[in-house]
Amino acid sequence: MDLIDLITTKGFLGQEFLTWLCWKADEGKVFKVGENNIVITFKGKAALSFGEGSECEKVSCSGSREMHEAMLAISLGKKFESAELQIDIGDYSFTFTLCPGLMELKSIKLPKTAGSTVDGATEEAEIEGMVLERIFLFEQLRETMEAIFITFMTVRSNILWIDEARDISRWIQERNDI
Amino acid sequence: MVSFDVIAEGIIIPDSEYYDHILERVRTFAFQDIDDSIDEFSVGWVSILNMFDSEFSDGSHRNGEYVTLAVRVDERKVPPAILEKFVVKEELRVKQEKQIPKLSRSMRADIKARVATELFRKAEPSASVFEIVWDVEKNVVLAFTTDKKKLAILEDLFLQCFEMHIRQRIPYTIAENSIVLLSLDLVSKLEDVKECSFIAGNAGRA
Repeated sequence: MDLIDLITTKGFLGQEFLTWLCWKADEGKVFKVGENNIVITFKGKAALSFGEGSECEKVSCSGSREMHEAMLAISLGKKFESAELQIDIGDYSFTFTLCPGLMELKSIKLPKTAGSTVDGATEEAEIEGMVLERIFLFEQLRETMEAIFITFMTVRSNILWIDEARDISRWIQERNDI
Repeated sequence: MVSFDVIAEGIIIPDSEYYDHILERVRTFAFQDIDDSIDEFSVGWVSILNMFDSEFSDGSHRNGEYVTLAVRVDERKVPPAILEKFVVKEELRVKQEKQIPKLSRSMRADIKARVATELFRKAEPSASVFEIVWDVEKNVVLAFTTDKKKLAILEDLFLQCFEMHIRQRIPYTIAENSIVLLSLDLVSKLEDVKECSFIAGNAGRA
């Protein structure tokens, strides 16, 4: 299948991943990627939708970390288009908006480090060092998110998924009842 | 940020000769300024440190094993409302000058072409820049934009410049190429995965 077909027919994988991720985050799950403990936090802003084209219904939520509106939308069949997340990878903390359909990361805020800005650096080696550090952080974020996605897919593509989906559904119901 | 796989034919050995070859190609497809011309569009590589540097004499195209470049896109645009205004203005002037009540279709077409050319000539091109990082060893490109038009421009530029396709990493292709899923014999099951519902009573079902 070409890329357009895959986006059309399998785009739901990213959306389900984000729902699963928000569930895991809410349950306090700590992921392990390599030697790092990874903690994900939902920051309270999300966009969800249902349907396509002129029949597409969209809802945006913000402000409530308990995701009440998002949970209500999911219980009515809507799926995540995007969500603002914080990810703590070891001692580093990143915030970004994940658009899971195409695995796009927007509005990324990198952790502050010793050599945080390229502007103002004068020595060539200093500039190269800062650029390399930024590349390292972006790569770390991308690789970590992809590793967590693969963790999801390990469950999603086998029989374990039925129980996992039921647990997610129960969680959504409980969140709606709060 | 969006990531791409670089589809290379054959094995790439990222030695210094290969990086020299990359620099040569980058310079061939470096950005060309259109400020002093009437061209509508220009796209090419510039330095990540200076959008006015398309010579790369400072070595900024390479950081460690990464190729670091910026894509600059300059575009001359005349907003349709402005074009319409000046076309109507010119049509009125011509009708008065020639003392005719109505212009023929060909006259109107000529006026529109002439006005458009003149407005484009005066319009200053807008510039937009976004960075990319190419990990030559892992064959992955990070693009720091999510704009669809810019990503399409990047794909074309990369292909023309380096003669290699880049393919966006989306959830399905990330899973398809996962060594972990392959080792668990789950890649073969991906095609059969169907969308599921989280609505109570339907959980897990398509």
